[in-house]
Amino acid sequence: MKHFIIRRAFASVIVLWGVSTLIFFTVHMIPGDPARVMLGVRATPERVESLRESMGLDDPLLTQYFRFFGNVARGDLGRSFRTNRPVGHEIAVRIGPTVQLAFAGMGLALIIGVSAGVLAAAFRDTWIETVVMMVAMIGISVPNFVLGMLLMLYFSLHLRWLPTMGHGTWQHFVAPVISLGFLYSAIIARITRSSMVEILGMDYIRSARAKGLSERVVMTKHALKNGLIPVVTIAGLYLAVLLGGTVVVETLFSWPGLGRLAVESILARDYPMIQAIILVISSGFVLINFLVDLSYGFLDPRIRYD
Amino acid sequence: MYRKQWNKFRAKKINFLAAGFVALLLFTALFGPRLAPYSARHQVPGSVLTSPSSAHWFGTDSLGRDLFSRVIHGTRITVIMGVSATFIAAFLGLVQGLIAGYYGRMWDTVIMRFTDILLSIPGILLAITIIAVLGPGLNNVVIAIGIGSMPQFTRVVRGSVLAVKEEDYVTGARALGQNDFLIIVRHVLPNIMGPVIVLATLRVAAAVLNAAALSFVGLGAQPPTPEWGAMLNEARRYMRQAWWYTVFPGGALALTVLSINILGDSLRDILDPRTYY
Amino acid sequence: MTPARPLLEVNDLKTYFKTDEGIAKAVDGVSFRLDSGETLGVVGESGSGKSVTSLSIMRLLPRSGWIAGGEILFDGEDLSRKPVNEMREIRGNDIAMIFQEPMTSLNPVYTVGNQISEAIMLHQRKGRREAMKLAVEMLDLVGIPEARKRCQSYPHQLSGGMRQRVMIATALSCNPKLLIADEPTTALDVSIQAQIIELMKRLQRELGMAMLYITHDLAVVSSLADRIMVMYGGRAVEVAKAEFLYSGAKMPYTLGLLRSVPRVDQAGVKGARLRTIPGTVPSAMHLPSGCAFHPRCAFAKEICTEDVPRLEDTGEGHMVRCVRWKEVRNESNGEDVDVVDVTHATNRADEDENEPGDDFLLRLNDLRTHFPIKRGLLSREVGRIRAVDGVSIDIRPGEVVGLVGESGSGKTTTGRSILQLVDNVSGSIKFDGTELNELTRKEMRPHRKDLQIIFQDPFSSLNPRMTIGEIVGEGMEIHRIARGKEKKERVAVLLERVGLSRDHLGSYPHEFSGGQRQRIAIARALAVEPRLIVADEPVSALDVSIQAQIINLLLDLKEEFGLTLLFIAHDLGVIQFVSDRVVVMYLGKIMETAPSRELYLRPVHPYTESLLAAVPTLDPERKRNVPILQGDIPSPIDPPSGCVFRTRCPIATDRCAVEVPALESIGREHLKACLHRPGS
Ligand SMILES: Nc1ncnc2c1ncn2[C@@H]1O[C@H](COP(=O)(O)OP(=O)(O)OP(=O)(O)O)[C@@H](O)[C@H]1O
Ligand code: SF4
Ligand code: SF4
Ligand SMILES: [Mg+2]
Repeated sequence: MKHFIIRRAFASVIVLWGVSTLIFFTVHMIPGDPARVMLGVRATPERVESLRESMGLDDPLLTQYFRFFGNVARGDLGRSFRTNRPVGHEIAVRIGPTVQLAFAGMGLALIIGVSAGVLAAAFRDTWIETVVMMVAMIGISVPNFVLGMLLMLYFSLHLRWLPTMGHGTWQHFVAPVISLGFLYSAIIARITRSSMVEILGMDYIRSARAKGLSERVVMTKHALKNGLIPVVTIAGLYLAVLLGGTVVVETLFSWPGLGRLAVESILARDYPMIQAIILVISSGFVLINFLVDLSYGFLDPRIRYD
Repeated sequence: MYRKQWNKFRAKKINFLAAGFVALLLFTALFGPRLAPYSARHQVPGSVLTSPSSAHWFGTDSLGRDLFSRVIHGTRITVIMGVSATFIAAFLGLVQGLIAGYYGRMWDTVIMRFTDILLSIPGILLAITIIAVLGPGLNNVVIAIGIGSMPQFTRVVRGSVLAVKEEDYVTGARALGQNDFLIIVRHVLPNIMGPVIVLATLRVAAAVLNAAALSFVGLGAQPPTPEWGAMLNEARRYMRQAWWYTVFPGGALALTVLSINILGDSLRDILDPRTYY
Repeated sequence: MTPARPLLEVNDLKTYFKTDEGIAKAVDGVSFRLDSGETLGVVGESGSGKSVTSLSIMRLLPRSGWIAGGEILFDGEDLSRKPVNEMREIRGNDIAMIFQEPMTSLNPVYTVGNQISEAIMLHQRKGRREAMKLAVEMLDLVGIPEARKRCQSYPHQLSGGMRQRVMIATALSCNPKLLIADEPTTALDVSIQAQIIELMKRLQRELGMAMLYITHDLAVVSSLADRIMVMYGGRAVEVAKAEFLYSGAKMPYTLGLLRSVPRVDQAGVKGARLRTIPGTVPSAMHLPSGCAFHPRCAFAKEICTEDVPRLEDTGEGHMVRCVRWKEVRNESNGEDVDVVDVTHATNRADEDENEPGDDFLLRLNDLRTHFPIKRGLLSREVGRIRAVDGVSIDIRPGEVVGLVGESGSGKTTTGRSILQLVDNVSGSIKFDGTELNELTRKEMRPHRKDLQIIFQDPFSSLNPRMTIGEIVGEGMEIHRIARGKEKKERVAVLLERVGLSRDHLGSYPHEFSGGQRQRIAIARALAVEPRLIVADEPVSALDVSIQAQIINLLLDLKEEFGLTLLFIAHDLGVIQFVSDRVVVMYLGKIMETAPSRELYLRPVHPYTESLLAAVPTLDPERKRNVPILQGDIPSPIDPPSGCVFRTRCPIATDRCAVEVPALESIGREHLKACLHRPGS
């Protein structure tokens, strides 16, 4: 077990290293001079040059790369071009709302998605399945910002039940969480249904029925645990979809989170900020998938931790 | 030979609706600009933000342009972006997946680690970064979304190749002395196309969605391009006054993605029933 | 005395399925009765409706199936019309069932104890603790060592045989009156099969339940059933006392089936062919009219195609569904069922008076194939699977060498190593003077023409996206044997030679049955005019009647094209029938090799001996008096020291644990690897 954790953790670190390397080099391929960007077009060449020097931009790329890693390891993510303040500070302020939003969306999606999927599988070939799967199909097809705008139109502007934008009370959460979580619930519902349908066709389900167990026990005891194994994996992989969704949903609802910050930064060419945001969000993704890997053992005794 | 498949398709009426809508979409993309009542940029004097009427079925926008015409003009952009981004993704994914799956060892390790890395960056963030490098514009959006979609293909292709490689007919071809290239072309490729076609269909839908999302946050198509996401972005400012500004482009986008997804689903039932995506 | 009410009485049962192509009449009028404590064996080829009959009784049909008619009287109550919730009180309690695939029939995420105790808690209203105690007792009863500990195991930690024992324990935990066993040993090795059959016989004696035992293997049922019911095309075609069926079968299908089975004792008759039933097993979708067997029946007359014959009592409860059974008996008179077709036969032993020559086509010397097991980030090698571990065989041109052994013995890997289809092969493979194991992949390519392979699984061996013409012609192209028109013509001729038609050139594999696919695979191998063919279990996936056709075809082609065959199988009967010489493998090593007749008459190695004894025989008189093998086959990752067989060998001594027995000659072409046999 210990070895397994160490190995998985090591693999996660490798992925994160890859992500940051990829992002580092991608960002350095961006045309244009960062110093010029920071200072604006009217700055004198001397000022630009001295800033370049102080930022180490004239050093060879590899030197910059190692310095970047040294800094990241110390928790220093660089300074924002836009505000010239440490990127870390800004992110610390913005991460909270995004985490709240993401977890609320994920929680909603897991609860709704798994129950809907199980329901559809249990009532296979009935109207219940048709309805659930149709709603799920709509769920994976309606873009989150379109859904968000429709919610806003109806509940905020027409019925005036919800605030249009911002962050603060629980009412502020309703529309963004639904816009973000609907797609993900639909994805999970679809995976859960396919997985459950497949499991229900297994020999051991027939064995369970041959013992005289009721359909409820067959479903909840014998099918569900097996059925959830692929759901957990795939839900972990699709988490990127949800995290990516924050970019759009936060922009739409003026949610003060990382996603909106990312868009603002790209529009302002604030590359250290972009770099840091991607690193933080990907770390979240990798961390959750690491936990998913560990949780396998509880679901599936065939997993060997060695 | 395809009777069984056809029977499966026929069993669900919704498939015909979806196929019909996709056909309409393709037709509009091809001939729409010629059929639309107005050009995409024509500003009708004195009719700013008018609600839907017989003259302007979808109403007009903040500059007095006919929304119906703009939605029609946007169809071509949407279809081209969705299809070409997926084409890029499928091509690169096929190459990577075939190499990783068929040759294994180092190739597999390197390609799959790279894929893992790409998969752990949310697609839209990756696309944003790539656009930052390449600069905004529709072509670059296509490339960015294509690269973002690529790892999905790599995974699916590699998985299918690994399965097909174990089939006895591949071993049989090796026993006959067939070379690797022809084994891949004749024995492996045709037998993994099912899952690839299914994924491609579903990814076209996703690409359409992501392209619109990028334009919506202001990083893709720029006004006055009649792109649906960009139109929705403009619509945000007028939500209080003009519901049609949101509803029609949004509806077009949602229906497009929905019908492609429905087709993708039935393709999956027919070609590749044992997968989850 | 009026006969007592039977425990189970099935009358005119009909079970249909809805499929994409219409209605499949899987069971179409089955009737039988089963008394308390009796065992009824049900035999038939695939698709004859055996499983569907049993699932109908349990009311466990898949969603697309339904009982379309008839009644199932169990203890006087009609199960076919019982509400589902009442059915649940019967399932697992009065009627229990075990299935074919022990690997997939247990839920992987719960412990064995949990799964056994489930039924006990449900039907006997016991608490968890008491149920667990009973579960341990049950495991003990079915012969699982350390039952208490095993209760905590998960299914994947047990071998196939052990899992089947667990299934049996579960089924018997509530003392059912009827046990239905659907091919419980088909997925198991012969030695394990013998253990399970022994166990079931014993349990039935001790617990006195009735049993419905389903199998495709006539020999298996004849050893444990009181009565046997033969099924064909969804109907019972013959029902008889077990002891009568072997010698007194009356229905042409049963007779044909009995003759198609290759048997251990038929070894060593050169040129002998099996008697086959022509044609293929019908599908439930398109059952022939009248007697479903008529397209394949040598006795068929006009009337057979019209009405479905009645199941007629011919005396002493021997029922036959054939309008001409009386004539059949006369016409086939004199042809004893156990005689093979010996028209061209000569006894191999006689012919081989002169010393066998020394020109060898293939010489394997100390062949070893060890697959590394890699773990961790750096792919460190943490162990090796010793799939083939020092195999030496010499094969003469024109010879058929049989390779037999249970699962994990390395048969397939040996075959694939010879053809250089796996990596990690060491040792020497000399083919016609060329050392194949030293060639690069490129250098090997021209030699591939000479060595071909036929696979076990007819569904995986043909590319579904290629036409038959392309499949068979591919090798001709690669080796530039023929192109264009000539290629097409040659392929067509080959197809006809293997019993298909030239019209099939443009067809795709999915249009063919398993047996036909195997014929295509044979044609593909022959297309490059090979000299040696490795036939890797070519008939294992086929029905008995089809198996016989393919065996005959292979033997004919061998003569015609002067082929040399390495014939791999796990079925000793098949191996003994086809081979001139047999090699017995166990855990990657050769235990014994001998001419097939010699091996049958004078087995020396304890493993060979018990393998021969474990094969179920049709003829009760041919029973051998050798104890069946106990325990499981060890893992090839960590084989026992010394003699690999010692953990299961009845005569092993301490010496066997330290000394590796060498393969020594003990007679003409007879070699063995045992320290104690023959007794010195
Ligand atoms: N779920 C199903 N849907 C459609 N047809 C079915 C289904 N299950 C069985 N059948 C058909 O019913 C017929 C009888 O099948 P069954 O499984 O009883 O045969 P069997 O004698 O047990 O054969 P085997 O030796 O292969 O186990 C076959 O033709 C089969 O194709
Ligand atoms: S009824 Fe006719 S076809 Fe059927 S087995 Fe008897 S003789 Fe043959
Ligand atoms: S060497 Fe020993 S263990 Fe091996 S077969 Fe002979 S007696 Fe048995
Ligand atoms: Mg069966």
